Amino acid sequence: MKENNDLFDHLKKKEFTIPDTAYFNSLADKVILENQVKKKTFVMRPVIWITAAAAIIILAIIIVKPTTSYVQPDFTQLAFNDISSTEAENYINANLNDFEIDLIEELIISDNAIQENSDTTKTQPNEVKQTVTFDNISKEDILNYFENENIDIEDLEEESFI
Amino acid sequence: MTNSHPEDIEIINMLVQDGKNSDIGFKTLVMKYGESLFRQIHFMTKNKTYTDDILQNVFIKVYENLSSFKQESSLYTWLYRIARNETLNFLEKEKRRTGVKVEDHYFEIIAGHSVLDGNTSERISELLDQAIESLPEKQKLVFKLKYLEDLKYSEIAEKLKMSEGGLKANFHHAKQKIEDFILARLNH
Repeated sequence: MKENNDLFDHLKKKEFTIPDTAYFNSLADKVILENQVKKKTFVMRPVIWITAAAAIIILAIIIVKPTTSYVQPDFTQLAFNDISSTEAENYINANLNDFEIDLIEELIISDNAIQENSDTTKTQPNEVKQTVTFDNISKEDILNYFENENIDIEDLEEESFI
Repeated sequence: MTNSHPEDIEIINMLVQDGKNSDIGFKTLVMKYGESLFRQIHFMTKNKTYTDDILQNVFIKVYENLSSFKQESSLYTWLYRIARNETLNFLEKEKRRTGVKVEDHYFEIIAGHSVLDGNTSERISELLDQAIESLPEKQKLVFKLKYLEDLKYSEIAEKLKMSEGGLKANFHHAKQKIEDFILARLNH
């Protein structure tokens, strides 16, 4: 018997089940649905990005604001605080000629004014200082006062005035 | 110039529209080519679950990229290429992920061939896969449609927009090359 040497005559394909129409129908529906979801996501993407950007900007403003409102320290004041009074005096003595007399006077006057001002603010408004003067008191009033108080004039002369 | 079948042109026109027409067009496409693509993918994966997943991915890509289809080849040729690339990528990823190559086989050996006898179905299936992959694109496609899908030449001619004479010549050359490929490896 002659051998059949055609290779394909000795190969048998394994059978497998081909899905029915319902399978392909459902597959088409699934893909259409998935595509719709993707499209929706794509449309929503700019909205999401804009919202995210807005949130970032607001956050940045909140974070940055306290640093911008921060009051810078007065470095001039800090620098004067570091100078001791001895150093200041030495400097003034060494450079006294550079100071304008008028300016110094003005400064002293204004300093005194400030001092007075601060003193008056310390006193109570209803606390009025009264200076005692004897100009408005007659000799007779004085003598009457001594008499009422049983004070002997001669004793006074001995203790206080002599 | 378009190489598409009038029915395919109608499907494409429906698909590029929005809304219901697009959905109807897509359903028509799946019903027309789904089975053929299923066979093709199943032949490569030998696994029903893989085939389901890959076929779905193929149709998603088709839906998304239909606007890039230039109609220089037939619609089926375009679909076939997408399905083939998608399957190869899937198998490569699966091999990397699991470290195991799909080893199922598609053929059984009928005793009586001096060279085939003594070889396993797995070995022959593997060689057949390699032989098919080594074919030029057109021969590969014609061989799959004729041999694996058992389509008539008239049906293939309609799908690929080729003459029946040209298909017969392509199938004959493909078969001869595959046989030579397998025998050469089994004899050494």
